[in-house]
Amino acid sequence: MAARRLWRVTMSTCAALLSGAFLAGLAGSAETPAAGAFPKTIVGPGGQTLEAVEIKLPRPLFQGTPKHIKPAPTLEKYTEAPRPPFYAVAGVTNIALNKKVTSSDMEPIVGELSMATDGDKEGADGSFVELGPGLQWLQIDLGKESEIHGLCVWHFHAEGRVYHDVIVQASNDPEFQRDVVTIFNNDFDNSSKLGAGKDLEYIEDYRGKLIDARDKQGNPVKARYVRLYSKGNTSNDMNHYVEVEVYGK
Amino acid sequence: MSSQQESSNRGIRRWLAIAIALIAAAALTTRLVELDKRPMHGDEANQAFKAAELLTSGVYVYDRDDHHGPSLSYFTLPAFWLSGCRRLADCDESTLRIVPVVFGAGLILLLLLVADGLGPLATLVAAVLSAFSPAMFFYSRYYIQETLLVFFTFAAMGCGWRFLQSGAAERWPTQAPNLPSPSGRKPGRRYAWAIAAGGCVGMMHATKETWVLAALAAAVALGVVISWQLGLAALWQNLRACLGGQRQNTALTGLSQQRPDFVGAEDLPGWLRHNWLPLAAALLTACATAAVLLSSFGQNWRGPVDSLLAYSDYLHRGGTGGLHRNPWYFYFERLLAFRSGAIFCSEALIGALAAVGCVAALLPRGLPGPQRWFCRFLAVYTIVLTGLYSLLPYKTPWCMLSFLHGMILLAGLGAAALLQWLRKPVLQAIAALVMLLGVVQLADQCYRLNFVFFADPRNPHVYAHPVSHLHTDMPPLVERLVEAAVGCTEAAAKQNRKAVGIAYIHVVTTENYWPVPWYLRRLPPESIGYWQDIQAWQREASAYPQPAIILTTSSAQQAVEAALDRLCWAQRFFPLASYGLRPGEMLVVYLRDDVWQKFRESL
Repeated sequence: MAARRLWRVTMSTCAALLSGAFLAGLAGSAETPAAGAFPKTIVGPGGQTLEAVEIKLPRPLFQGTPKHIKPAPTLEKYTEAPRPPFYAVAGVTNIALNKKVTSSDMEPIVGELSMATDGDKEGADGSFVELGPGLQWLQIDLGKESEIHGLCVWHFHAEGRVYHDVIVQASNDPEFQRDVVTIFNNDFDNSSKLGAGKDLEYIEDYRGKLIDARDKQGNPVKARYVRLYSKGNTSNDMNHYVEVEVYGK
Repeated sequence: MSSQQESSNRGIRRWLAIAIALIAAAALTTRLVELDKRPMHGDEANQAFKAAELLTSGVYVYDRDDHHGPSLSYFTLPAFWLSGCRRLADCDESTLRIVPVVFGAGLILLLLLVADGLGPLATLVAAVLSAFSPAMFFYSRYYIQETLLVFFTFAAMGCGWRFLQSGAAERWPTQAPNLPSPSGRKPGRRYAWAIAAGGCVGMMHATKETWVLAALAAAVALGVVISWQLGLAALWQNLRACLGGQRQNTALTGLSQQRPDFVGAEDLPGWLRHNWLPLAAALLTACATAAVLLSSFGQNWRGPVDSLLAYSDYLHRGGTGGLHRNPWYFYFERLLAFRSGAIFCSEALIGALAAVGCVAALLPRGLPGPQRWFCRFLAVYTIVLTGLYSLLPYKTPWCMLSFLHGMILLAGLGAAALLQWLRKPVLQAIAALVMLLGVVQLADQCYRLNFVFFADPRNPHVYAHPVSHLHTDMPPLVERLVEAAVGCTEAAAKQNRKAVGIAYIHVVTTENYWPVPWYLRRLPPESIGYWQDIQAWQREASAYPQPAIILTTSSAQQAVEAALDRLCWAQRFFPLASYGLRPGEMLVVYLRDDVWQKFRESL
């Protein structure tokens, strides 16, 4: 009798968990650690308390490691394991939402530049802006000099692909001629002439690419403008942005 | 014509010549800017290798399946010599592309041959539109035969017109008293123009096989115009004779009062009897010119034979289309209304003015007498040629140049006719201003399509084209990787005492890999191997030392990786980079792991 009751409770719990996961998958989910997986707060390198920043994720449009992309020493190993949250000081939010976007290509092939900061992270058509081939950049004006703790970039995630020469820079100069800080750079051969980068290429998926902009002491970058470069991808020569989130204050 | 009028005409001709020369110079100068900016198209690279073969071997072997005629290669020789190139590795894109640029500018100068047929204002407008038509601008910087074909076609037409003009004195010994007496006409000029026309036709054959379409359109236009003109004119003359109670010799003296250069069918046998010698000279010159070039100056007599046999292959290719099968409106879409993303491209100004020019040419009183039948010939020729190209399933955008040039000539005519019909100066000024703004807009498109969107699919003239960073990034990366590979090989050779000298790069794909050979031209040829059969590569590759780099295309990537597995090389090679070869096809660079380690040390 007790065994039967235990069996029924176990099955009900499993069913509830599975339907909850299914519904969360349908509606999109916030990237918050599963209960017990990651702490809600940690202590930063400077001794300050850091909280997990909430990042709402879109629906995944593909599952598993893309088979057509072979492992390489220049490519980050793909894992489906849950990504640790992005921890930052209290008050850090997405300060790029609905901010003004400019680009090296002001006449996109598909979509509008504003799609990169409209909060829509879905990977389907109508949610991304497509820029022309070759080296292109997209620039976000945060409105004022801000503390940039990190970024999350979604180029395109309807299929698994790798974007080349992804470089993220920040500056107070809108022309990016002076006081430019490079936050991320995976241009290993310096073909984009912005310096050779040591970061790895990565496979795009629904989680986006989370980039920590802080230095080793945990100090954020202070800048008004954020510029993101790319130069085509493994599927075609074009450049895409679904969404760019800049975590700061 | 009074001496004052003659002097005035001479003055107009002088100023027109100066204006045309200035426009041609402007076209030449603007088209020379950043000639190497755009990556090489696969067809351009292919032609470059053919020209280099001529440079190094001294022989052009006509290939009936590919490459078209030898004229492009022969005209590239002076560019090679002037730039000091002794082999392909010595030259760059500018050395090659300067050839069509010069012919494109020369096309504008050729307008002087037909200035009296079009009229001075129409000629001037046609020159401006030729210089700033985005399609003409773009393809005159393309190392393919199209601009040369248009040049020789128009040159043949111009020389033919000059031949007809120079023969008037001899054909009409008894002229009506009010007609101007021909001045400075020499019998020798007839032969010179006939031979020049023949030479140009020969060059058309030695340039591209599609010349037959222009020849067919010209023949149809000539037939239509002669039949039409004679029919209406003879009818009119007979009506006048009946009303006036006098019977006149119909087409002959009656017409000669209005159109001294007209050739009528009734008089055709007489005209042919009088002119058979220059016509025969023209035909002989055409055959001899084509034969000389196609035989590579007598070194390969199979060439002229193959050039005739090739028509069956091209007829089949043109009729089926294959990879380049496109709908009938393909050219019109690219010329008149091409939208991609936020960009809209159009040469509708030329299209609209060409339509006006057609109407002006076809109306009974649209134009003054001497120009009428020449412009009608142009109108019918352009319409027929446009129809032929549109009906053929095989279409590539540069093929539109032939009929676009006809449209540009008609557009010049249309502009002049429009200004003539609008009698009020205010309306004329408004029309001129609108046309000027249209030309400015065309010039802006020329800039954007050639210097901003030069390798972008939003450009209507970019077709099956590599992207810009294939051009700027792939060659230096591969050269650095080969250096690293040499370093690895030398190190291994020192240890094992084996000879150095192996194929460092294997290009393996079943697809078209051009223009990759162009971008690898500076590497020693013995260091590169090309395979278009993956199974053959798998069999042969194991007999070679392992390559350092494998280049393949995205559509062949899976098969190549399967072959790497079977060769037991899969663990050593990884994909390092990819570049757009053409829409839907990426060039993928695989690198051996030990070469990567050596390369990283150099970074």
